[in-house]
Amino acid sequence: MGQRIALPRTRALTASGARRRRRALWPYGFVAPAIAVLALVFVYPIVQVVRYSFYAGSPGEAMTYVGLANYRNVVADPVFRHSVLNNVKLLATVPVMTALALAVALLLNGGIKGWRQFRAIVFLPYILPAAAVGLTFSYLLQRNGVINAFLHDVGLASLAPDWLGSTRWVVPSIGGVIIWQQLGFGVVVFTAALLALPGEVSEAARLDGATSWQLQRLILIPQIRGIVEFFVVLEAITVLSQVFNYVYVLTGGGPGNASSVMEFYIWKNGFSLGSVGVASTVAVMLLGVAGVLIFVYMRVRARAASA
Amino acid sequence: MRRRGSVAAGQAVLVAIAVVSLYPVWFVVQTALKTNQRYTLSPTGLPTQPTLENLRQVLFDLPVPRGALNSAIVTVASVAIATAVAM
Repeated sequence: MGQRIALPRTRALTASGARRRRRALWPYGFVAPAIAVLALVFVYPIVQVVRYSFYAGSPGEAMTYVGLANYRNVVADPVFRHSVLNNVKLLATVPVMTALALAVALLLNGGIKGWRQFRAIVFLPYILPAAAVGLTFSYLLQRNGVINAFLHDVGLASLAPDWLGSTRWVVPSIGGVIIWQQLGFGVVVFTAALLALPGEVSEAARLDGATSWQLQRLILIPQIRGIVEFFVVLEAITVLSQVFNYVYVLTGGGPGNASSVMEFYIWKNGFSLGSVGVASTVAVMLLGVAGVLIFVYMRVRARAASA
Repeated sequence: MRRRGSVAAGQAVLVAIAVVSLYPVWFVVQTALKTNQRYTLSPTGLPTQPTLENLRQVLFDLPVPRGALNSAIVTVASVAIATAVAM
């Protein structure tokens, strides 16, 4: 504010000043029903799960308070540790998915004939229900299933292990099914991102003598870096907390517990063994990890929108 | 300028990915048109005598239409409620 000018305090100034000082409350009234619904559907279950993690037993029978004993026991359980290890192994599918989707999107960006139809074909698996996909692949991947039968006919019998029944191949097989489904989503996202790029940058690079490979590596990919990061974080969250369908339908936990993941461990303890306390404990841990990833996702999405 | 070799290689990769993406769907359609015995005889072959018996069983003997109706109800209701609350 500049030099103080002596102005008469008119009624208008006082009235508007007074209105500005008192906070308007009626907008909160409009938002209240939505907040109430969210609180009921989001907050209440989370609070209950955290509560249950400090008890043993299941709601319905008497639940006994055990403090942090659930957390200690879960961390010491080898099945739990193996489940976490499987989740980490499945995370290795994310770079494969991203690289493959990027490669395909760059190929399509080169202006191949029929690229729209191809994009639709590769996107089709993504919209199929996971249970149906799991069932189909359980037929394809059986020891005497379709893929092994084909490999035998071609003469590559040595490359035909028991995909779902051997502890060595079961997690990579589940990873393969996940990649099969998620690849289409990646291709669609990256194709859209590449199409939105300004053509002048690529033209200028070509005029400067860039080869196709240089163009892709040094010009196109850095420009869509935000979208790529967004995809990576989204797939990491998917592989962490949305693979129960595949594990349950394909292997039911695998030979023994070989393909158990954290979600499966939660389900097994909560619904099969009736120890809701233990299940809630792992659920809280999964919530923590997923929360970190979702926080990263929101930061990355803001940057991707401006990429 | 793209060399012809690399264009062909790119096309081959795309065709391979298309086949891999579509084959499981085709396998399901193919198996749906076989009876159990024919499937056991030849899991991968084309259905020599396609039959609609499975389709008939699913539509009339099993509670699948009820399940489809349930899915529709859940989907419409959840999308409507989620959109309304989000707005």
